[in-house]
Amino acid sequence: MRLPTLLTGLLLATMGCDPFGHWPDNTSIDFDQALWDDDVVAAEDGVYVMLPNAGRLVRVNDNETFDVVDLSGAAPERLIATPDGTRVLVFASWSSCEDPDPKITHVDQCDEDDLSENAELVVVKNAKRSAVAEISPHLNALAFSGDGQTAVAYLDYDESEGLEVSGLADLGEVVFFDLESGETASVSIGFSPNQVLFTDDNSTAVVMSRSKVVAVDLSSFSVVVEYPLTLDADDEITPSDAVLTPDGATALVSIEDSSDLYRLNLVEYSIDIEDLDAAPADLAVSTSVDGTVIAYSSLNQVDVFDHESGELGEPVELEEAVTDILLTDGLALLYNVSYADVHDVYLLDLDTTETVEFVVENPVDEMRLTESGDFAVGLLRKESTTASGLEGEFDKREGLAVLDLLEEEGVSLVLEETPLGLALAENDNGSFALVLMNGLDYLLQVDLSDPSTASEIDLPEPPTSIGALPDGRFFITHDAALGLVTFLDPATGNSTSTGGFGAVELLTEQTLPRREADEE
Amino acid sequence: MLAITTICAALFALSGEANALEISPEAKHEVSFAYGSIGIDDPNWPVFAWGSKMGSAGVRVGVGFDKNLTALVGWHHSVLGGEVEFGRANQRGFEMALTTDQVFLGPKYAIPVTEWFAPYGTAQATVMRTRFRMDDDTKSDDNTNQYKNAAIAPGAVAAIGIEVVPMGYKNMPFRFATDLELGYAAVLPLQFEQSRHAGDPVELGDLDFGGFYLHWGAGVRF
Repeated sequence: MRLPTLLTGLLLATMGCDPFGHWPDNTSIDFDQALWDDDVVAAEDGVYVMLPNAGRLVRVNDNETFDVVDLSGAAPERLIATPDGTRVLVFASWSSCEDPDPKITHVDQCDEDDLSENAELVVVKNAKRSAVAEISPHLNALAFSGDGQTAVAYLDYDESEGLEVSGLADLGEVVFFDLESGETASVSIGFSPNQVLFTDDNSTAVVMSRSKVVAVDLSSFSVVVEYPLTLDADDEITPSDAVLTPDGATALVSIEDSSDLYRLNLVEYSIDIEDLDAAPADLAVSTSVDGTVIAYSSLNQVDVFDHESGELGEPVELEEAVTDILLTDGLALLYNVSYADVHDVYLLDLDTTETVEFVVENPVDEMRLTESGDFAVGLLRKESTTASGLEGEFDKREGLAVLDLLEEEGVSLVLEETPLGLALAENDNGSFALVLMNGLDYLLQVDLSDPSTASEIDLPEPPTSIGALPDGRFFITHDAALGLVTFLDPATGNSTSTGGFGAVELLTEQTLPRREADEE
Repeated sequence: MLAITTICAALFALSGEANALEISPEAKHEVSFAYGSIGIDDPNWPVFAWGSKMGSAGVRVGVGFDKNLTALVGWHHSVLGGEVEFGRANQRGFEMALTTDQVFLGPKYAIPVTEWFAPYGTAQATVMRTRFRMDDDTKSDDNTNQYKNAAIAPGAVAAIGIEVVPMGYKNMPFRFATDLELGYAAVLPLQFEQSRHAGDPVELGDLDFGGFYLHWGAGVRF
């Protein structure tokens, strides 16, 4: 009788305990890399997210699920979505070990001298690897043709974090990549190619590099013509900005710290140089007036270059200089993001050259136009000031400027916290600005027709960024270690959140991929 | 707390008959509070605990058939974990925890040398059930990223040990005892999955227990 009685007593004693009701603190560990990178890209089939710790790529879906994209062992390093949102291009790398010993299965088992890194560019479509091309590891930037069929990879040195060279590298090469077939063609352009434009018919790519502009035929990937920007090899002429005229016949190229505007005739292969009043800060092509608007950071004026006549119009005088241009139908919105003491925003009618001046309370940090062009919304940064009173209060905070371009009215609003992101939405209910702020777990929705009225959309966790999906919805990333993305429909305010994807392969060692292929 | 409760329960269960019994020197049955340790050689283990072993606490009950052979049943419990941070990645951290229950079952064969000392050997089958939890917002009880997944794996233990049973007072119904055993444990890998994947579950990873095994017990013989 003693044993059953004892066992019953023990069982009752242990049932009263709750060993699962707390989080232990036996250890604390600091991971080198985050589980997920909130610098995500949106495609039409979902949001693609890199997992730096696991070296994997996932597609986060709007139905609380996600898919792991099989990159054949390669780790994603940078994502870029094609302009049409149908594909995502992935700069990826993978480790290989020259030692054929079959016992070597993990990276840390391979001798450092036998270990090498390989780079490739992968096309991902519907969460599947659809095409892949080996590329030099130093290539880090992409440009896309208008039809989304061709990508050009090149080195953007300003964006690179240390130059990776494997063996021998041509830093002047650009690689054309057919996104359907995966075929590539490498073309050596010149020193430091830094911008690529495509003609509207997608027959020609125009590649800017130091002291040289090259036109490449996209059917044969051959150089059609080279435009030297100087006849003196010792001169360094670095293009700062470039645009193509709507007919694709002319490229306008501005030069760093120079008032020269190069006009490259892509049909007759000729060069003209237009002497501007100063070095341009921004160029923008307007199809409605067939001209290019030119802004100067050092001059209180803008110019409009007429494509048909090849002449500059009369300068449009402004009270303050502008550095950036946004275009809508027949109108140009001009503003300055460089100078701390400039508060003016101008709306320029490109037909009449008449301007409307808006004055915002603080300097502009970022400006957006709604799709219809009826409203402009700007994020305003803090301003160093000795002002007191209400003006001083405004200067101490970030703000939001809402400009009604139809009514020609503007208002500046104060934000509670530092803005993390801005998105604009238009639907049957009106036009809205969606503003994310640091540390606040709600999204501010501002009705642009009545900016003083804002509503809050609750979020599951504090946000870190917001972006648009190709279908008009928005995605919001959150400060959540295990991964969290919210999909928001601005028309209805409905949202769904998908999380947990950051934990994929959390407890998995980094193995050597494609080991069998290496042995072959 | 668990240990005290367990011992008290054992004494309570026996107290009704204590005065009527006179324990024999060859007490066959046993109940003890136990501390255990099992080795783990897994690069991911540092996220749960320092070192390369998992400590646990539990109880062990033995039913003796004669002075040599005892059938043992044991249960061990362990909760380990901590915070994972991303100082260099400038991201908020999260909590991880591993709650493990392990059941042992097997014979013990002892060779009493004296009335109070007996070396023994034991071989036990074991089943390990581990629940893996993660949470990146522990202040909230309904956040999206409350993740848990359980895994079960069988294994085996082989060990040798010594048992010391000091002589008891004549009228006590039990004798205090302690034992210490060392050996080797092998457990199949515990595999964890991510269940919110759109298609098949995604592998979260595994933990591979096995290696050095230690058991220390303190309890009673009756």
